[in-house]
Amino acid sequence: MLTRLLLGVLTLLAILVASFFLQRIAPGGPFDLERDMPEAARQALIREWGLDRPVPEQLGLYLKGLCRFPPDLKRSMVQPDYTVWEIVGPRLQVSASLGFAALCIALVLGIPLGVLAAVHDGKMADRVTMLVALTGVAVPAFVLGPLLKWIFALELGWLPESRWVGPANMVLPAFTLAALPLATAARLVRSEMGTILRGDVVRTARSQGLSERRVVFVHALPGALVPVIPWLGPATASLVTGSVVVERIFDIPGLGTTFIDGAFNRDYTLVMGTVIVYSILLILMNLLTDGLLVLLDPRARSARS
Amino acid sequence: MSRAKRVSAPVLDLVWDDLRLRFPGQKNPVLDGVGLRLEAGRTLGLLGESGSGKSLSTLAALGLLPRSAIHVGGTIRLGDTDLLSLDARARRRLLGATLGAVFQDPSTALNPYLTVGFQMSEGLRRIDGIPGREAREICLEALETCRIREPRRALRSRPHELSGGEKQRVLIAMATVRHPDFLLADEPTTALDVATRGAVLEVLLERGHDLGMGLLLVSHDIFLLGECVEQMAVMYAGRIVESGPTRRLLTSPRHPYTRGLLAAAPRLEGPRGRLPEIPGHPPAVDERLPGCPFAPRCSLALPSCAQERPAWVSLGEEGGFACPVTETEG
Repeated sequence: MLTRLLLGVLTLLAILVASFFLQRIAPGGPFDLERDMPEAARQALIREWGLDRPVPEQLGLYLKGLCRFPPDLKRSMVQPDYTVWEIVGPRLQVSASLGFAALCIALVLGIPLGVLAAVHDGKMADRVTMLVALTGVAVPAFVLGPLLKWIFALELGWLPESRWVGPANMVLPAFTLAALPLATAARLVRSEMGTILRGDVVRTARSQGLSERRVVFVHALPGALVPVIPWLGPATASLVTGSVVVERIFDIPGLGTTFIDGAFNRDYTLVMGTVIVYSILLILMNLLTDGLLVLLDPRARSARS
Repeated sequence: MSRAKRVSAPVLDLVWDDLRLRFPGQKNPVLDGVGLRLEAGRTLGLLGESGSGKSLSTLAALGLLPRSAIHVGGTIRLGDTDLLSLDARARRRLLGATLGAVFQDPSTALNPYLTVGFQMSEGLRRIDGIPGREAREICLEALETCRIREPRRALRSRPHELSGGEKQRVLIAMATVRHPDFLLADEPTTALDVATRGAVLEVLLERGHDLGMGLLLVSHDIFLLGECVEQMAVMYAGRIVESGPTRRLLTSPRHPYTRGLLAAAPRLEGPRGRLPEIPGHPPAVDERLPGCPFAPRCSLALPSCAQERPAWVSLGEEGGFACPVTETEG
């Protein structure tokens, strides 16, 4: 576990260095957009931010700031009245609640759908479910989002079409974001469940005369959930990338929007701050799923008790 | 030792009658007229190579066939009940209570996420409605008679904490914990260490005897069966080619396949040398001849063997066989 933690820190460092350099390679800088800024003022800003120094030195200074406690994410280069954390913090809250809602929807609907499909292997319920799942994988958020918006907000008027003021605003974006992981979870569970239902454990359970419901839920389901756990890591990654699109579509002031705006404005510090938050989230999620997997493995479980 | 089965009604025989099964995509039936009689309280050995259909015959009685299997004809009867025509619910009611089953690979048969005690007592608790504490005692007793060391510890453990032999003993105890009338054991010792095979087989036979169960023992090992069952049936390419009392089959086999098996099996006594083998290999389902499926490998085969399905020659009490060539022998 300690090795994994160390590996996580190294990963984070690698991501930071890579994105720092990539940003500097991209043409333009944070102060190019304000056309009416006098050249002297621009130069003064560049000097003030240390952008005239060699890039490795800039990186060194930035990393040094991060090593403080609390870590210094600097001020936003484009909105110098705010620190990066003041911008990222509240938006992280918005994005995290959206992502969490989407993940819950994906698991709560995806797992039962997968079970349903596996139990009715090859029959109508299986085909319909898998068609829905395939659609979920195939239709991108930028198609599904506007479609849901058009039906439920504009035509039916049941839900607000955009913005972020109350729980009702969360419904459409959360479902849009959940579509892909929901479909993936359903397919994962269906495939594993199918294998288990044809396997020896279920044959033994059936030969005991147990009801089919008991066979499915007590004997087959725990094993079928196992592949869902390691998938939670990549699923979080796909939620992060998905949220960038979904937040745009529904005009949500989240981290994804911040990330894109920051990148467009060449707001180096803001982008780095966002990258750090995203990376930590993903690394933690992967660590968490690894830990969960160990916790659920019957071998490891009895070794502890 | 365990209490004997309380006999409430006379137990009926379990009879496979001309059972025929087919899988989609194959033109020949995979089971082509299987006839067996497992008498109540007696032991029957079903002998055959892998692919001969012995496992399918077992699974058919349990209603655990792969979903794609097509029932072409024949019945499996328990008294007047045709097991194959029962609905899922009625068939489930028989499993564990009337028909118990032990399968080949104990390493994958138990649920890795549940304790042995939970799995073992599930039928007692959920189906017979026996309270947990009492069910636990019954399980303990079953484990003891199956000679599990430290049965209390075994109940608390998860399958991976047990050895292969222990797992199979647990599975035998589990299959018999509700005292079924019949126990169908499909290659119960094949996956085990050679050293533990004998002990596990002994437990199985003892348990069957103590509970007065009819025991079907499926194996590919003619001498293993020869040592522990009263009746034997030999299966080849989806058919029963010979059956009868074990003693008769071992001493005066009539079907050329049975004779080949006996000749090909190694023995400890007698001169050593190259073992005579049956040339060729069993045919795939769709390569089977319309006549006798063994004909291409048979040294006695006549030209007509490949075309005409051999009739069953009954020997009365001594069983019977399906070969027109050896029929004429004295």
